[in-house]
Amino acid sequence: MHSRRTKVQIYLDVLRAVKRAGGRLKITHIVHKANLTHDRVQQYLDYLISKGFLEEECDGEHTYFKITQKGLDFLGELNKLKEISDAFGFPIY
Amino acid sequence: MIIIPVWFYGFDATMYFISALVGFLLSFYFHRLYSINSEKTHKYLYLGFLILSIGLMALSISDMFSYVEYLGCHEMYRPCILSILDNVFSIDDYAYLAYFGLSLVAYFLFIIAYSEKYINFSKMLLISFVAYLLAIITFMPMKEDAFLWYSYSGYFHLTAFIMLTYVSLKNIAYYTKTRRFNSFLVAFSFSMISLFHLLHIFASISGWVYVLGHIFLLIGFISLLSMVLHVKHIQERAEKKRGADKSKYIR
Repeated sequence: MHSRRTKVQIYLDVLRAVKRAGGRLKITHIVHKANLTHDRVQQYLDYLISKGFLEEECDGEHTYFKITQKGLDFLGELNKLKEISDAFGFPIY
Repeated sequence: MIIIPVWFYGFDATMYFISALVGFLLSFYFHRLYSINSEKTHKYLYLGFLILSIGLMALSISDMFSYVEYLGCHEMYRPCILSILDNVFSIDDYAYLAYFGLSLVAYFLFIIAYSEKYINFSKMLLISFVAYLLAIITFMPMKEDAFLWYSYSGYFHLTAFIMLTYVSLKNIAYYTKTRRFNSFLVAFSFSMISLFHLLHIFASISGWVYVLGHIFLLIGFISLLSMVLHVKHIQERAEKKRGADKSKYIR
C-alpha cells in the first residue's frame, strides 16, 4: 500500500537530490528527482532556504539551488530522526 | 505491602533517574520531529516521554530524600520526618501519586499514538477504561497501610501493565514485519518496562521481586538508549564514509 509522504520525507528527498547531484541543482531537476510538482516544490524550497539549508545561485542564465553546510548537517539529523521514528513503528513515508 | 531490601535503597532511585534522563532524550528527539513534521503521532510520543520522565524524576528525587532521611533518623535515634508540607501526606505520597498519574497519562498517550496508526478505539472501550480508573481512585484508597501510595500501588501497576502490554504487542508486531534491529530494541524495551510493572504487583512475595522488577526497568530504558546510540553510530559511520566527498559539494 502506498501512503503519502510526510514533510520530513520530502525535505529529505529534496536535500538528497541536491546533494547527490554534486551539491547544486536546477528547480526542474529537483521537481523530477524529488518526485514533486512545480506547484508544490516552491513551498518546500522556501522553507529550506529560510532555514539556511539551501541557497539560491544564479549564473545569469539559470537559477540553481545549492546545499549549504547547515543543510548537510540538517540532512544528517533528519536521517537520524527518521531512523528513530522508524524504530518506534512510525515510518516517515 | 511492598518489600524493599535495605541494601537496595538508593539503587532504585538511581534507576529512576537514569530512566528519566533517557526519557527526556527521546522526548527531545520526538519534539524535534514534531516541530519539523507536525505529525500527531510524534506529538503524542514527545508528550508521553516528557510526562513519563517528569514522573520518574519526581520519584527519584523523593526516594533519595526518603532514604537519606530514613538512614539519618535511624543512626541518630530520632523520628523519621517524611512529611514536608503537612502531617497527613509524606513526600512519598506526593511523589508516588504524581508518578502514578503522570505514568498513566504518558502510557495513554502512547496508546493513542499507536491506535491512531493501527486501530480505532471504540467509544465504549474508552468509557470503560476511564470508569475503571475512576473506580480505583474512588473506592480503593487507604486501608491499614502506613502510606497512602501503598494502597494504590497494586492497582496502578496492574493498569500500567495492561496499557504497556498493548504498546509492546504493537511493537512486537511491527518488529516481526520489518525484522529491523532498532525495532527489536524498542519492542524489547517496552516489554521489559511492562514486566517491571507486572513484577511490582508481586513485590510482597520477596524483596528480590522488587529488585528484579527494577533491573527490568533499567534494561528497558538502556535498550532505548542503545537504539539511539546505534542510530547515531550508523549515521556517523555513513557521514565518515561520505566525508571525503563533502568538500566537492561545498563551493
